[in-house]
Amino acid sequence: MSNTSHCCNQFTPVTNRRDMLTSSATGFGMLALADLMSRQATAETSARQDNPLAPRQSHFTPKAKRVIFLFMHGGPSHIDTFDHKPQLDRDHGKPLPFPKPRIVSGATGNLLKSPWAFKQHGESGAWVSSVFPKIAEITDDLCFIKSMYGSNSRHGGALLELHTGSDTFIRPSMGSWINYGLGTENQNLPGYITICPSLTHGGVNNWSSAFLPAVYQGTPMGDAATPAERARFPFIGGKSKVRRRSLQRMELDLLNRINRQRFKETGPDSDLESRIASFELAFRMQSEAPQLQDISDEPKNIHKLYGLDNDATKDFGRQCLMARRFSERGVRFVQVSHSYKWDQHGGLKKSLPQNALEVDQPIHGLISDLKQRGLLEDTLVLWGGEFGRTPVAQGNDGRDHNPHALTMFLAGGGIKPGISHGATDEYGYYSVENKVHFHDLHATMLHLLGLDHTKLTYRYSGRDFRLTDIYGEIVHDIIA
Amino acid sequence: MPQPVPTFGTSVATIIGVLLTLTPARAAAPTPEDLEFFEKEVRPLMVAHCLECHSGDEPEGKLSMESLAGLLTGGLRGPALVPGKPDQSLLVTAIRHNEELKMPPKRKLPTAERAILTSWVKRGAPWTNAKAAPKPATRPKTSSGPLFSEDQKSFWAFRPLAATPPPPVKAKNWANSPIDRFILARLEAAGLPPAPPASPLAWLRRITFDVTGLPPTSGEIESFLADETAEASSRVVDRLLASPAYGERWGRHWLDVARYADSNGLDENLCYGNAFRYRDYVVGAFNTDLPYDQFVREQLAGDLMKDDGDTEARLRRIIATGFLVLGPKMLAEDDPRKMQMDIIDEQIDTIGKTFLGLTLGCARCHDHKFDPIPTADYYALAGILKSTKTMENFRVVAKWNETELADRDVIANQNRHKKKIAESKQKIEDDIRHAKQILLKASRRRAGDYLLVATGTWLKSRLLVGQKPLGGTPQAAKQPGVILREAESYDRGNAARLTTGYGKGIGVIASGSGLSTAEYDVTIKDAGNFRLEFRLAAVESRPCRILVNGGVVEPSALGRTTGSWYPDTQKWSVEVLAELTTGKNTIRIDRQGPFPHIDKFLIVPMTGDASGHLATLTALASKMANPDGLHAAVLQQWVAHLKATQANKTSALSLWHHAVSDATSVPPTTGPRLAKYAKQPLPQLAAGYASLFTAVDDLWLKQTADGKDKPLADPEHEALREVLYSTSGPYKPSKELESAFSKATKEQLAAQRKAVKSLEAAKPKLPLAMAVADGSIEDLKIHIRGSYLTLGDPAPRGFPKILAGEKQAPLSKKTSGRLQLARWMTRPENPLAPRVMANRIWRWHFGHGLVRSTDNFGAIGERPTHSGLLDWLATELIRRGWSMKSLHREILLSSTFAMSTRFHQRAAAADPENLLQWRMDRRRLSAEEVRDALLFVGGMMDRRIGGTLMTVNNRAYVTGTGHNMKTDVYENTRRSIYQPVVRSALFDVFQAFDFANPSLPNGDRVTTTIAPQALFLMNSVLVDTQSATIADRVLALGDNEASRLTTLYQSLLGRSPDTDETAQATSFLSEYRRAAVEDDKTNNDAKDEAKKVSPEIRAWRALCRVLLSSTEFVYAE
Repeated sequence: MSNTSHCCNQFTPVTNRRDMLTSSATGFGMLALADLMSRQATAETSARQDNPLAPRQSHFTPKAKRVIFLFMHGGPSHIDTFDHKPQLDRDHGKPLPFPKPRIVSGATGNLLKSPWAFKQHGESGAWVSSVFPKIAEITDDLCFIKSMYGSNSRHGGALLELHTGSDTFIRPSMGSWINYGLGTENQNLPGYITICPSLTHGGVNNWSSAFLPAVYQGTPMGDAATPAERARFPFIGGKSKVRRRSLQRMELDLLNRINRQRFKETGPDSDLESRIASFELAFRMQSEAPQLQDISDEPKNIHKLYGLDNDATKDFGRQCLMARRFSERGVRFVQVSHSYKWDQHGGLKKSLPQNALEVDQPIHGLISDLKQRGLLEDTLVLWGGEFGRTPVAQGNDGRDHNPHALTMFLAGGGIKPGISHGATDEYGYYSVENKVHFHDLHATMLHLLGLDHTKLTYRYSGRDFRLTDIYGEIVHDIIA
Repeated sequence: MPQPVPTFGTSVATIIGVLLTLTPARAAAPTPEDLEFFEKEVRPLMVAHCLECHSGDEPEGKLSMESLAGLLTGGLRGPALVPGKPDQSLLVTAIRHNEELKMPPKRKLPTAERAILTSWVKRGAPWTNAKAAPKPATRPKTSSGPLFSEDQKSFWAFRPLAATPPPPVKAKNWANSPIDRFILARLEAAGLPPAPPASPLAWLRRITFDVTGLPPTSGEIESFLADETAEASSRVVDRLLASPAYGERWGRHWLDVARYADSNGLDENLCYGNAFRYRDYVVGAFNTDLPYDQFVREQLAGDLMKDDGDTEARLRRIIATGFLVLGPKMLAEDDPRKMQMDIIDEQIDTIGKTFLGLTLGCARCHDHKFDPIPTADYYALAGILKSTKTMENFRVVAKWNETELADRDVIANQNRHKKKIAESKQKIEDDIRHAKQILLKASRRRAGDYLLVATGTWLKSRLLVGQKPLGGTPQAAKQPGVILREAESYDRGNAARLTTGYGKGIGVIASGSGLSTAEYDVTIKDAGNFRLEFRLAAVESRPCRILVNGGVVEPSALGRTTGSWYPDTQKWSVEVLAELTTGKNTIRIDRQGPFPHIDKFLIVPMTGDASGHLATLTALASKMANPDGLHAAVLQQWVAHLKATQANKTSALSLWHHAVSDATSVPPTTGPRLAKYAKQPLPQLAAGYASLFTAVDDLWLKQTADGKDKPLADPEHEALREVLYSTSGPYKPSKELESAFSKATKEQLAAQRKAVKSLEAAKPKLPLAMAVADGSIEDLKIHIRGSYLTLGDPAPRGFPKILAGEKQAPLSKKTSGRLQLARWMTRPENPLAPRVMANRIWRWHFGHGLVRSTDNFGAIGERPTHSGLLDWLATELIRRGWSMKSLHREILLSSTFAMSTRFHQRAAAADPENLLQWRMDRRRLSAEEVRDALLFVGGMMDRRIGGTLMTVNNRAYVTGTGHNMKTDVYENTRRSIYQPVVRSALFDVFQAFDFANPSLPNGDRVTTTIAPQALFLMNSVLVDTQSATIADRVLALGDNEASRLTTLYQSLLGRSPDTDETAQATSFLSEYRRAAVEDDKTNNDAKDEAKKVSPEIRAWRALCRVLLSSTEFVYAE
């Protein structure tokens, strides 16, 4: 089969039975199929099309091949981290001089200045507050979007909007769309892994494939309540017993014999053949995945670089290191979650620096490590939460949800380094200049991956769906 | 070119100008100033930011901004402008960027520019040479022709059911049912032979899984193979359809379509603790063969169906409406109207797909792109659901509706009980209000006394403002009059003294048990005001009470945190002001629970009261009669009122504030009565206030006794009355006043509250069902682009016009119309309901539908492969009284169903997707069947029916950052249909084996072949346990290996092994035993449980696992 570039109508739904049976589903299905196809000399001519996870050619030459999303669950305050607002300092304690949004999640009072000092860093002169000293050192690699906005003022809706583009309905997540569009490079690992995700605020819906074939859904490794050290893939480790390798090999050999003998009864059946292959893949995967999770082969300086030598940073640091190891081996989309800690309705002064401390060194480590390995060039790193926070106070030491403005940053993967794009108003309440909606972010990510967001469609329930729905504009200004 | 942007300064000036000259909205003619403002400020903005899109022949959104008329007429979203009313003008909404409509789209205008446009609208939208009247609305006219084209009307799915006789066939002996003739005719036409019949064993295994989701038992196999009568097959079918397992298997199919789950999932994953009743209802409906039309009606409108006095039926129907409530919902949505419309949308989408095979949800924002579903039809249905109460409220987090399940008498009783509780609560409220009135009435008579004491308290508290602790300075304790006490040197109390670990000579007090106390006796030389300073360390706030000589001086002191418990964060702070008498005084600290770590405290004489007002007030207060009669709660309110009014020049207390503040300024002007005291000393002023308060109170009481509650005529009187009677003043009837009630009143209240509590406890807890009821009835308007902020034409409640016709009688205003919808849906004239269900039944028997897109019969869906057969089945379904069991029977006994899965080269080449049904499709067991079959052959299945296995409470969170349910919740042996379905964290076995996404209606599960399935079979606890059980059972049979193998094959696969298989298994067992022995020698893992089991047993378990993983076990032929 030729590997011609596809356009939207080639993404036909898998509706015939053969397609369904050969498509692999769930999680790290990352199936049998690719593997099967490479070995199955007699495969039908359509075999290539039948492997939904085979690497696919993008619509045009990509700048990025994979994505790492560093998700700060809870809604980090942009005005206390990267969006410096001198006017807010000056007007501290005064009422907001323009109307608050019609829909708000809670009552707020007057303007509250940031308790932290901002300084400019690097040649780019990016503003960073004192809570992120290590990220401040690498601002020349980063591109800040200070005019992000969404539309939902609650965690559940905002998480779904960030991950799927819809804050109302069950829709495929961005990682699923990317796997659907590009397939995966390593057929022995899931193409989309989410490390220690939170099961709250939509849980699996944030990494689900919804109506896309289940093969494209994210594979969770552990969950937010599990320390990264103990996070495992389903049915490998944990309660499941992985037997002694040589003995299990004997079982598999007998099983293969029995299953092959079956063809005498059934005649040729590609489903049954792929079933045999799926056991072989499972056997390899259960030895390879734990090897990847075992980071003892990393040198000491790398452990230190990711903050694994420090109690405050070691959990998130391990997640970041794992993300690099997966990306390095061709996993298309890896999400790392710093779970549900960034929701400072109160206790801003105490909790925000603690959160920042936990991720500062690991993020610095990840980006520098990707860079020194030459991986940053084609790995797109994205940092951010589901919304920003209000410049007006909640109580006297907190800020409410604010979907009208947030800051995200990107690095690598064809992004212009050392720039800042867009702006909020003088207090940071609303994005006002070069506004970037989540849809626009999604469109831009797909573009960097060589995919046209208007052409990456899937027909479901009588409609061609897109990650960007009917919206989305590529932010050309941030592309190198 | 963009016009120069006005600077902020000029625009603010302009705006202020506008505000000052603000003319009434819609002024007759704009003034020259108006027009200058428009030309200089407004028009340049429009040119710069709006006209690029909103001008010309085809302006964006059909809105032209080139003229006032264009704005007034508006575009697709309606008028853009309501002169004088910015809040009602879309133009203003759009530039605010707070709503869905945001203009200009990419860049919000600066504050100043938004202010200009807003004030222009407010000013009446003056426009040079504007023609006053807008053009008549040019709303796009509804086309004058018929609503639907002939093509649309004659689309196959909308055509009436055709009476289709089974076609003639050549092979006369093959057909066993009319169904077979439909199938055979097409095969014969294509020149393909039907596959030969399946073997009896394959047929029995297939049909048993198909109908019950379980494998046949050895006994069932034996008796069927032995039955050579003509009725053998039909006996099996009858037995299976009569088994309760039928409802469990087929009910589960329906639950896929009804997107059943035990939790909400979407955002706030709350437990649907009563969803299981709906699941049990569905299982029961299939088992009792509830006619399908009635099944539909009950789910849509069971609560509205006629009550024939049968309580059980009535409750069952209420439970059935859980169908409408079960969907995933955004329960935390700050916009309640959006939340409601989104929930309705989910209902419409589900109803459309489930019963009609129509994607009605697509018509929310615009007419359906492919099917003849106008937006008006969507909102006609939405009106029915808007008039339905699905939710109890739309708060964050919202509550879905639940209905109590009980006999009407029980509910009536319950309601009486509730009423009684409500009345008792009301009585308590009334009594409290009454008691407060009495208390306040008396307290008002002593307003003068309160003024004195409250002012004293307030001045004292102010003494501490800005006071820096002396404790930190060296030699503090040496200063005259200052007393230092080490905290651990208390005279009485129970606080723990910690003297180690804090450094040499340092001791602190910390916890006591229960009520922690520490009392100190101090001797004072000269009475006066003292401040108490403490040195303490604390990580968490532990506020304490401080008492002096038995009286509380501060209910919440020492509550700050310092960062740690250690000496390095010990900090001094000024905590309270205390009045101490000459001689012995007692200072007491107490707290319910542990203390902060207190090191020491200082008692420092205060010199701040230079004016002596405090002394004067104290002296005056000491002379009052009955000082104990003042209530602390009222006093606190007085202090708060003094604080609140201190800067208020118009308050009746302004003169008093002036006097006690030592201000040298001219006293404020008050009324003539108070003015008399303006220059007099404090005692006279106090007496003046006291007598005026009394006089005013008398006046007011007299006036209100005459029934007049107008303000007092004299403004000075009225101002004083405000102090006594304002609901925000010192006599506000706050909750705190209860503490001042008399002992008798308090006891009486406590008794009443206790009675209510026991009444509440006595209220029987009735079971609840997720269910709907009729709400307030209303018709909706079309929501343009799906937003309730832009409403279009009315869309009276009704049914899709392509099916129900364009002329429909309006629905009654007394009911939502759900019952009418349900009846309309199941009328025999509606071809879709029976077609869709007949197709579903076919799909669930054969693995694919006659229409393969089972949930979409629209233009985008597939066309039927056998349209005659589909209509025949649909017609039969109705003719047989909508009995699904009857239709099953017809299908199951057909030759079509009996075909084998035999591969046929020519047929496979001609029809690879088996569209013509030339053979039976081989079928991988579903997630539930795999798990159930494992439990079944292991002999461990718990066959109890119904109930819930959820371990979290109704409406509680099922997932947080992790899973809130016990991790072993799935480790039970109940059938899979009873396992909790948690929407955002599905059971991993279900997830691996293609369980339907429980958030979306799905009548056509996919089957995939993926590694996690293999991993489950290789490694899971379930397969392990079953293998061990089965191996033990087989080994107990005696030591003949051949007969052991026969038993093993019989119990797992329903057949004996052939000689090759026996040889293969025998050699596997011996090789495995040998390898296990070898392996044990090198396995140094002492914790490896495998080592505790003999190689013999391990070999048999391994063989079991292999057979349970085999294709033969996991597939039905």
